[in-house]
Parts: sequence; C-alpha cells; structure tokens
Amino acid sequence: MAKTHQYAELFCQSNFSFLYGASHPQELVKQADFLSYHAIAITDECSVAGIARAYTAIKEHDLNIKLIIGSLFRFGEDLELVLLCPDRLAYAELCRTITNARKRAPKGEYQLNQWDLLGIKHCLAIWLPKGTQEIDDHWGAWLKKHYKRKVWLGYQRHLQANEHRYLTHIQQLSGKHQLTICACGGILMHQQQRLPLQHALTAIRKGKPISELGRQLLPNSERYLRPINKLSTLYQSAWLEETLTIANLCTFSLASLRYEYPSELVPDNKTASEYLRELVIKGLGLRFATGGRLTFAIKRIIIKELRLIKELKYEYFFLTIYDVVQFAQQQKILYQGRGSAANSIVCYCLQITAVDPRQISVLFERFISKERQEEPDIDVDFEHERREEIIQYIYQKYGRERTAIAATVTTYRSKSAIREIGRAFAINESQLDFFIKNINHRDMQLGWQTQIAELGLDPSSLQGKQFVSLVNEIKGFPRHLSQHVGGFVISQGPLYHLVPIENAAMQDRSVIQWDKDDLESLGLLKVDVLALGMLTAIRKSFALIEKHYQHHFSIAQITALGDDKQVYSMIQQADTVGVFQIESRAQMSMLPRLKPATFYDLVIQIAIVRPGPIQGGMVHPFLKHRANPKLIEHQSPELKKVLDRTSGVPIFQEQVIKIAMVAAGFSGGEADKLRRAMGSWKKTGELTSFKDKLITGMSQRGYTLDYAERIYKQICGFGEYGFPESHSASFAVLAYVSSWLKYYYPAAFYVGLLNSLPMGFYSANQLIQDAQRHHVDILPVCINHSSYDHLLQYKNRSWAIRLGIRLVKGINRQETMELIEKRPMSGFKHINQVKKLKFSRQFLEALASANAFHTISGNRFESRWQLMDNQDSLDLFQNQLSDPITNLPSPSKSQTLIEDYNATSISLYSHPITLLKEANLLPKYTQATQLNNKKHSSAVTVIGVVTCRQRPGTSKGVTFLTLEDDSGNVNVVVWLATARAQKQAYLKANILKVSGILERGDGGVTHIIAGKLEDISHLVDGLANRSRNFH
Amino acid sequence: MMQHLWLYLHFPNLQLDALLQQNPESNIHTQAYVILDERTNQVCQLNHAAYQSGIRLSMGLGTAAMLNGDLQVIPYQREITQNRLSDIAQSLYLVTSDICFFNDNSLLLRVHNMLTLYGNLHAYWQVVQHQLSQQEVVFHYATGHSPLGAKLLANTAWDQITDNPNEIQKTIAGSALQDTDLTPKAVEKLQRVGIYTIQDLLKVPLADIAKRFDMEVATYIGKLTAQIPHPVQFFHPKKSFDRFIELLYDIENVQVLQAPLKQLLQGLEEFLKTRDLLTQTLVFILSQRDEKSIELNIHSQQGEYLAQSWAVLISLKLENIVLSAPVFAIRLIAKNTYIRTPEKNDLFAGKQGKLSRLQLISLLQAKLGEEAVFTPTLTNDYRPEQVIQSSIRPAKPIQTFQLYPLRPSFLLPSPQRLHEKVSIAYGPERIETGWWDPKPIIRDYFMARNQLGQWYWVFKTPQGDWYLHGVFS
Repeated sequence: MAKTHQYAELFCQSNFSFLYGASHPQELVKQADFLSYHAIAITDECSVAGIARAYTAIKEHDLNIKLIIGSLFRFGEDLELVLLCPDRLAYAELCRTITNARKRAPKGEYQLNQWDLLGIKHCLAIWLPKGTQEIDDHWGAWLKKHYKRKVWLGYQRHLQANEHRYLTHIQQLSGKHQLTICACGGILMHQQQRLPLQHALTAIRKGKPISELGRQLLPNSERYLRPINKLSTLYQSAWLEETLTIANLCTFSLASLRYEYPSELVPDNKTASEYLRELVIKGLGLRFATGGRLTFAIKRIIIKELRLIKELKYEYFFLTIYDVVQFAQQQKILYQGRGSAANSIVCYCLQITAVDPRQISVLFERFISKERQEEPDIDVDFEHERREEIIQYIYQKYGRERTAIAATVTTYRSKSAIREIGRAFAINESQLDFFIKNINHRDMQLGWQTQIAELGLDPSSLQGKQFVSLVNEIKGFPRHLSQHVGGFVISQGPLYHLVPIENAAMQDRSVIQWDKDDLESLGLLKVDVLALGMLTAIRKSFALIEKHYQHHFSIAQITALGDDKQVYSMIQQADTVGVFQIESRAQMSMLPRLKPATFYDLVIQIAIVRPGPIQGGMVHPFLKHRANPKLIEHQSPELKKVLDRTSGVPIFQEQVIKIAMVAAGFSGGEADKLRRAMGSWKKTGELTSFKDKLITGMSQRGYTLDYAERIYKQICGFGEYGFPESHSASFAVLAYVSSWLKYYYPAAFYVGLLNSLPMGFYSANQLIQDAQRHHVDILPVCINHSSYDHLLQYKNRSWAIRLGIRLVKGINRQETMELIEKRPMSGFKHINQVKKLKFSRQFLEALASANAFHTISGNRFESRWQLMDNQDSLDLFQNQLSDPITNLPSPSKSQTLIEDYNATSISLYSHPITLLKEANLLPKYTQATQLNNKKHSSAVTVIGVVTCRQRPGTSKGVTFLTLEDDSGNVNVVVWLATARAQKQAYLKANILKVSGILERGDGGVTHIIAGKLEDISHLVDGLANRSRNFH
Repeated sequence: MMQHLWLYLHFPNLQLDALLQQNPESNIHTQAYVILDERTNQVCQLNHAAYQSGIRLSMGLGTAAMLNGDLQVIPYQREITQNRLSDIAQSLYLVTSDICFFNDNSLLLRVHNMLTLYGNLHAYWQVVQHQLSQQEVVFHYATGHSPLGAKLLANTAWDQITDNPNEIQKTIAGSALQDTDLTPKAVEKLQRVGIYTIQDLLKVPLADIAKRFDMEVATYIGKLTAQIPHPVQFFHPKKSFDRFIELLYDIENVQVLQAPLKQLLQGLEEFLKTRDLLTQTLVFILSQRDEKSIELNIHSQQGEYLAQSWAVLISLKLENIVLSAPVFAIRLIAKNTYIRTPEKNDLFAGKQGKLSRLQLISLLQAKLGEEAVFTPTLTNDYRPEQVIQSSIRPAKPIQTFQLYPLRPSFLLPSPQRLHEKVSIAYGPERIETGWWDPKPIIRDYFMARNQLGQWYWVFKTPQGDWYLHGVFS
C-alpha cells in the first residue's frame, strides 16, 4: 500500500493578491482542511490583508488546520521569494518589510530594495527560481550566504511545457548551493472550477479581453489545492515531507497578537485603573453637581462598570477616548459619543457622552458584556467641519508610526462586476454602458440577468451563461484597500510590529491592511473619529444664542432640563424639518402615529423607522401594543424582561441577540457569531446556518414554531440595517437638542443649519421656506449688510435672518472675506466703488445676478451690465455711469424668479407655482395647505415643483415624491406600476401635476397615492431648480 | 445690387435615413431608434417613435434607455453621414452651382445667382425640392439673407422659402438665443443681463456688446445681419482619376488591348505625378460589344504611379482573360489613391533583389489570384492547432515575439488516434484553455518514443483516449 503523505501548502495567494488570486481566503482554508492538509500558508503579494479572514474562518468553523502567515515578494524581474513567519519576531519583521516596501511606492504598489532583503533575520524563505541559469546561480549563492539555514528551494509543478528541464535545473541548484527542496503549489484557486474567473481577473489586470491574451493566461487549472494523493504522484515524497518540517517550525498564531495601548496617558505614579477611577470621580462631581443627588443605584452601577473595565483591561481604551474628547473640549469642538460602551455612566462622567442616565436608566444594564466577549465599542462624532483638527491632534500626539486608519475593503459590486467582466469578454464599451445604465435599479423585481436578456445578450447561450456566472462569482471580490471613514488604531510601539501599513490615497495618511471586522476578530481596538454635520450646526446655533441672546447652553445642559412638553408637541406634529434624524419623509410620517412624548420614545422612534424593523413587520404590532398594553402577550418571563420596554416587540439589535440567548439557548460566543453574521448575511448568507439552531432551541424551550419563525424573520430583517439601542440613544440626544433649538430659538437654529450646509436632508431653499413658515423674517443678500455666513439681524423687534453671500453660486470664501474687509463702515455708495476694488469679474457678476447691489444700483441686469464693461476702469470717471443704460429690458417677474434660482437657488419673493397661477396657466388643483380639508379617499389633483424623489430600500418599488407649491409640501406616493407606465413624467418632470387619491392614515398623515402623472415643466422654461434624486 | 439670398438645408437624421433606405422592411418606422454619439454618450439622431417616448437630442444614453426599454441604439458613424451628404450634394450639383457643406449634416446653397437661370425663387425651389425628394431623407429648410440667418431658421424648422426681407428679419428677431450658434456659455451670459432673444440682442449697440463679450458674440451678430461678410467654401465634385476611352476600332485580341491600355496608364501616370499621388488599385472596365462588360481589378501591395509597373501586372492579369466579344471601349478608375511618402530603404537592410517583398507578393497575386497567396503567422495561443495560422493579408514579415516551448517540427493537420505502443519519456504538459470560444481543449501532452525510436508528440484526453499529434525531427 502506498504510504499516505501529509502536506502543508506553503505558497498560496488569495484574492487579496488583487487580480491574481481567484478564491477568498476563507475558501482556501476550508478547502485545505477538507483535503486534510496539515497546514496552509496564505502568502499574498506584499500583503497580509487576507490572513485575518482565513484566521476567522478557521476559528468560526473549528477547522483542524494550521494557518501560517506569510507573503510573496518580487524583487525586480529576477527574484521571487515567499517569506513565512515562524514566530512573533518574524511576524513583526514581515510587517515591517511590507510597510517599508509599500511606503516607498504609490497606493496599491510596492517597491522592495536590497536592504529589505538583508534585513530579514527571522522569517523563513522559500525561493522560487526563475529557471535562468546565470540569474538563479547569483541568487542561490546570495540567499545561501545571507539566509543560511532559513532558505529553501520551492519547487512548483503545474504540468507546463518542458518541466523536466526545469526540474533538472532545480536539482542542480539544490546540489550546487546546498539548498533543500520543498514542494509548493503556487495556489491561486481553491478549486479547478475557478480557472475561468482567474482568466477573467488576468484580463482585467492586463486591460485586454480574454480571447486576445493567449499565452499570457494560465495554460491550465493546476494552480488549485490538489488532493494529497495527486501531489504524491507529482512530487518526491521527501519534498512533500519537507513542507511539514517547515510548517512545524512555524508556531506563530494571530491569536498571540497582543495589542498594547499607548501608556503615556497615565501619570507615572498611578496605575491605569487608579487613574480612570480618579477621573470618573472627578466627573461625578461635574455631572451630578446640579439637579439632584447621586442615587445609590447609580453608585452601584459605576462600581460594577469600573470592575468590569478592570477585569477586561479596557482602561486604556477609555482613557484614549477621554484624551481625544478632552482635546475637543479645549478647542471648543462639539462632539458626542455613541456605541455599546458609550452609554455607560463611566462615559457620562468622562464627558464622552451627554446622555443623562437618570433619563434612561434602563439602558445601563447593557454595557460591555463579559460573557459575549464583545469588544467595547465607542464611536465619537465630531463637528464635520472640524474633524480634521482631531485627526491632526491624534497624528501629532502619537506620530505616524503609531497611528493609522483602518482599511475598508472595496469589493466588486453589480455595476463594476458587469463592466469589468464585460470588458474581459470584449463586449463593446458603449454596449456595456447601455447594459449598466439600462439595468433599472429602481425596478428590482426583475433580476439583472433577465434584464440583460431583454437587452440582447442571450442568457442561454454559452457566452451568456459564462458572463452571468463570472459576474456572480466576482461580486464580493476585493478590488483594493481604501481608508475607513475614521477608525484609528493607536498603539504603544510602532504599529508596523503589529500589522503592515500602506499609503492611503490621501496624502500623509496611512492605512493598515485590515478592515474593522478583521480588527475585531483579532481583538484589536480602534477609536472611531467620525464627522457629523449636526454637531457643527448645533455648535453654531449655541454660539449665535450666546452672542445675541446672552444665553449659554450645552448639549448636556439641555438634556438635563428634562423632557419639554412643548418641544415634544412640535415633534408630534412632524414639524421637524432640519431636525437631526427625525426629518426624513419616513420618520415624519411616523411621528404623528408614534407621538413621542419622552426621551425613550424618541430612542424608539429613531430605531423603528429603519429598514430592519420595517422589513421584519414590527411597526404595526408595536403601535398596536403601545396603544393598548393589554394586548401584549409575553411568551415567557425571560422574554418579558427583554422586550418589556419596547411593548413586547424587538426593535433594537441588542434585543434580538438577547432573545437568541434567553429563548434559544445560544451561548455568549454563539450570540456574538450571530451578531456578526447579521451584519453580513446579504453578502455571505451565513445567517441561514443559525436558523436551525434558533428554531430548535426555541421549540425545546416551549415556544411555538410560528413565533420562532417570526423571530428568525426579524433577525434577517435586522441584517444589514439593525440599529443598536446605544446608537439610537445617542442620536436621540441630538434629535432632541436640535428640536429644542428649533422650538425655542428658531432663527438661531436655521442660521446654524444653513451655515453648516451641505448636510442633512434639506436644501437651503427648503430650510429657508420652512423658516418663513415659522414666521422668521428672511432678508436678502446685500452688498452692504451680508457677510459670508448667514447672520442674525435685529429687525422689527425680533431677530431676522440676513442671508449670507455663501448662498450665491460661483463665489469663493476668500474673495468674499476680502470684500467684507474692504467694505467701508458706512457701506458702499456706488457700484463703481466695488468695481474699483479689482475683484474677479466672475465674483462681482455673480453678486450682481444675486441682486446683491439692489441698494446701490439699478436692477440686477443693469448692475451686471455695468460690471461687465471692461473699458471704463479709469479712475477719472469712477462715480459716473459708463454707458447710458437704455436698451436693456428690466426683469419680468418670471425672469426675476429664474435669476434668483440661477444665482442662489432660492427666491424670497416668488414661487414658480405662484407665477403660473397668476398667468392663468394652471388647471384646477388643490393647494398643499388645503389638503387637510379634503376627506380620506377623495380624488385630488395637486401641482408642485418636484423637490425630492426618494426610493427607500425597504419600500418594494415605491417612490416618495415631494411636491412643493407656494403654500407648502405635498407627499406623493408612486407605486412601481404607476412609475413604469408613466416613466416620462416620473423621471423627467420638474413641475408635476398629479391626480390621485388622498389617503389619511392614523395620526393624520396625508399622502396622495398617484394615479396620473403629468409633466408640466414646459410651462416654466429654464427653471433651474433641479430636484435632488436620492437613491 | 441684388440682395444676397441663401438656402439652408438641414438633414437631422442622415444615418437613420440611410439605414431605412438600406432596409426598407425594417421596423424603423415603428420601433424607437436613436443614433448615439459615443464620444459624448448622447443621442445625436432619433426617429419619431423615440421622440414620442420622450427622448430628445443630446439626452444621455442612460435617461434615454430608461424612457424606452426597447430602444434600439446604433453608434454614430461619421462616414455614413458624410457619404450621404456628399451624395445629396452631387445630385443637387446637377441643378444648382454653389453648394457648401455645413457641419456634417447640412448644405448651404447660394440662391441669388441662380435666379436669373430659373426666373424666380419659386421655380428654383421646385427643382431643388424635386432633387431632394429622390433622396428619401428628412430635411428642414429656410432662406435667409446671410448664411447664418438661413441656418438659424432652418435649424428651428421654419421650412419657408421667401425672399421677403421683412418676413425673414421678423422671424430671426423672434428667435431664442439657444437656437443660434452661440456657445451655451455665451447664451447664458447674455441671459444673465436680460437678453433672451435676437431682438433683445440687436437692440444693444454692437460696440457695447464688444466691450462686454468675447469677439464670438459680435462676430456672430455681424455675420447674422450680413454686416460682416461670411466667406464660404463651395463644393467641387470629387476629382479622382476616372477616364473613359472609346476605341477607334473594335479589338478582339487581348494582346492588341495592351496598346490602348498603355495609353490610359500613361494618362494615369501623369495625373498621379502632377498630384504626387500613388495608387494601389486599378479597375478596368472593358465594354464588349453585345456582351456584358468585363471588370478587371488589379492591386498592388505597394502604391504605384509608374505606367511601366502597372503594365507588368496587367499583362499577367490579361493572360487569364478570354474575350467573348470585341471590346469597343475601356474605362480606367484609380482607387485607393494616397499622397506619396518617400520610401525608407535602409542601405544596410541586406541583400535585396530587384523586386521588393511587396512587389513580389503583388506579382504572385496578379499571377495566381489573391486567394492563392498565403503567409503563415504565429498566433499567441496555447492550442497547437491555433498557433500557426495562414493569413492572406501578408502585411509584415513574421516576427518572433515569444519563444515557444519545444514543439515537433511535423505537426499533423489534425490529431490521429494512436495505434502504436509508445513509451513516455516526458510529460504531461496539460493544456486546458479556450473555454470562451468554440474550440476548447483539455489535453495532457507527452513526449514519447515509438518502437522504432521515433520521438512522438502524443496526448491523452480526459476520456482516456490517446492521439498522435506530431513527430519530432
């Protein structure tokens, strides 16, 4: 009987060797395990980006295979080397080598030099000779000299031409340089079936169609993970055994990576734990100084939290974030923490969050869970305009060596997959464009394959099938690494001992090679420094209030004032344009039904209007149960504990996890896997593997099958969109504070928002109209009164908004500031005074068109005409008109409107619908404000400017249109069939006439269900108010 | 002086029209069709059905496709449009003398100097219209006192023929600036000071315009109002060598034909020489009495102008010709004519015969027929059958671009079942490729020796069948 060999694959590239490898790292380790390999090394080219996934797959599936960390390097044309990590030192060496080689080259490339090679002292090297005598002799001698016993000759056999010659060559080299031969696979695929995909990747890499590449493609599929008995016939047994020898030398595992926090945050004479306790106690005094005493319950929670932090050694994590927010406080940058750990009392005391625990005491039970082995999660949002200051602070404090941003792996998605595979198949570029543009993403009912069939590629033909299958296969393949929005990894020593770092596209930024999931599975902590526009707006509003009203506020102060009835009454009427989170159409339509009256209601409101709960069908039961608590039937006392606070319906991600634990008996670890699977189930489909366990687990504990199925469905619904309670609570703080500002200081609120644009959901135009509806006076842009930003100006015994020059299109900040600096105290008296200042013509003309000169010159046409003259710049005539302006027409009403829209996107004086009405161009219709007088189910016709087309992912083809007439907004619902049948009007119209049925839901929400859509845009030609399309 | 009058003809759908003409049975009438300019990815021609579904000129492909799911999209081919326009010009040239090409889709006719011939504008238009009707193309037209005036009106589909200055001026004055040739940027700038129509524009003194806008605007107004002359280049029928001679007597003997042919070739040589041209293809049409004429196509791989050189090729060609009736006339057309560039003969290029390589190939092709001359070329492919291909277009000498692995010198045209016993020496070499085309293969190749000691190249299929594919020398 033939001896059964064992084998360790030492040279294997995953798809993180972009456009070379044709299998995911997970697939490779699973297949290697299936083939009973002893070990597998993932050796992507100058990268360890794929190993974390391989490691996670082994851990999650309990695979019985050893993972070796390594990387492939090419040095010029002549040398190919696989470096493997036997121990921690070698791993640090590998990371350092990759970092150095990557940092020398532009993003996505690397450049190795001889010093890198000389610096290798701990790694094991497998040399892959090129087959050229002279070159290989040189490198054989070099490697033997420098690496001594740490280098092997890797022999690959891929059933190619003239292999016998290559083998002789290898054997000669081995003899001559005394190098031991080991077998290696040069793996690019986990299975042979991936050959077409590998060919397609080569085609993408070379930028040529597959059919033109000929011998640049792999000749066969031998670079897959081959069964051991096949390997036994291809390689001498000694060479196979040598792989085991090498594998056995490699004892390093990613599990042994230990993250070390920067220690400088703790004063010398204290331990981290002592220091944290000290800070918390200091914070207690600050947070609980006013408004009541420190209850015993709170004290107990603090003690519990501090103990847990100590046990899990998370002190440095909290201290790091504390340090960052301290900096923000000094710089007066507004911030707000969120995440599972953020809503702890410790974070409240450290001033990371402003959520007053007395308001939502119920939250604090759920903190970092020891049994769930979950990493603490704290994201900190900063003002979006000033986040860069925070990032620079972190870089300065810890240095670029110790700080880097986590990567985001950009993967192939439908469009990019179709485009690139199409190119590989030599499909004409404009035809591809047509495919991609013509796939109606708004029309999801037809799959893309059928749609492509409609466009002329026969899906049953050989090419059609290959095309479809390759597009499906390549989806989810990584394309390149880019930087995460703000996840920083900070370490005690140089980061490149821990993980390789490469250049980001942005100058002076570096990214590590792992993304946030990888970091999490390796137990490395990141600090999320994110940007949030609303914080900027709130800070600006606070500043205005302080300046003009002499009142000082902070977020924490406002929340500490307790629930304000009047503010909630405004929220309940969905008067929330501009307010954080609860300003979207979907949120607004839910507000009158949910009628939030307390802070916790707001927390629920924010979480419930999400795709997860909506898809899971939780909204209606919740409304029903809340209206009548008697209807709540708790399936068990355990579940009552979990679901009581949300009327028996799971709304938050944490609740779903908790249900799996208490009702289906998931262990902490399993629940954690479930949580991860939920995040990515659309991509990987891994969630299905939990279905059986969940349902059997629940049946065993006496729950009905129906209930168990429903819970499973809800978990699926949560999938990508589930919202953790802790996030929702932090958002609710901002939603409340912004509502509070809108109610008590509307002018300051709008100015804060307007000066922070672009952000949020509404345009300047919509915000200004909303302000007008709230009786805030709006003053036009004026050369003598406006600043760059919008201002508050006292007029008629109240504060009005003076529009800023930033509203004018085509101007820049610098010129504006210069203009304001040069403006005389008493203002300009004549337009030529301004002209003399030699600003760019474009700048001045833009101001003229915005009618900014209305106080010192004629109409905007005349002002612009005067500014355009390029021959009268002589000072002699500075205060005389250059030309008698006789022939220019003065602007008509509609021209004024068009000019207003063209110059500033808003008109304070007129509305297109008003103009059309005055010109008797409009048929009979119902005004937005009159809709309240119409009965439910009555037929109505509405007319308005289309200001928003929104198609939420959950709504099964429904599009929400917002029509704006001169009295307000109308909400129109367009069903898929209606949209399809009346594409022209649906897609193109700027001004739309909609005939349909009025529907009034519970809580008085009014929509028009569209029947007939009619495009009447031609009535106002040249109206430049394009609607914004949200996808 | 008589006032100038121009007629502008705008053909918006030339490529679609050509398509319809070639395929009268197609569904162009009912189905939505657009011609897409691939550079801008915008619709540049469209039929009525496309218009009906909301598609407009300059619309992006994405929007157009959204509006009509069954839309047929054809890429714009400038050549087709130009040829079509050139045909139209040729036909109009029969009735009107001064024709000028405008853009790729319009013609401008100078009318005023034709009126004496035709008597009045109406009669002239009758004739022009008649010519156009034969072309089966969609067109818009207008007259004007300046080329740009006529153009502006035709582009807005005015479709009027008049020489009444008031009527023309009134219509022009009412035109929107967007319809003019002014750039969108200039139009926008004008609108921002309240100037929306030509009328608004004409009210402002030209000097004031010149102070504020680019020269472009002032020039345009000048040309539009005929204050500034607008020079145009008129069309002349294509000048290429096309000569027809009627013989003084009928010729029955091919050999005797050589003399008049030589005469024609002399004429060609002179024609080409004075223009410094070379030609690659000659077409002789021999008109036979009471019989179908014979067409002879003669190619030279290398451009030629010398009568002598062509005479050699022709006499070879004539060897194969049998006249079925006496020839009474000969026509010679020169095709593929191009400007001569000096030949680059390298002094050190090695020994060369009197004939260059291309001349030799021309000679062989003339003698044996073009289809009979092949050149082997190496293709970049793993499949042995695909590696060597013969091409009838021997453009360049074979280049060795890549070293091929050891392959047998004698490759069988197609593999044969292996019936002998062989012993395998080397291999396998696995070739698994071509899954994307109709000739995929999966084979394991071996080098093997037969009983006689010959080296064979054999392969095994996945089914386990053995084939002989070649023999090593």
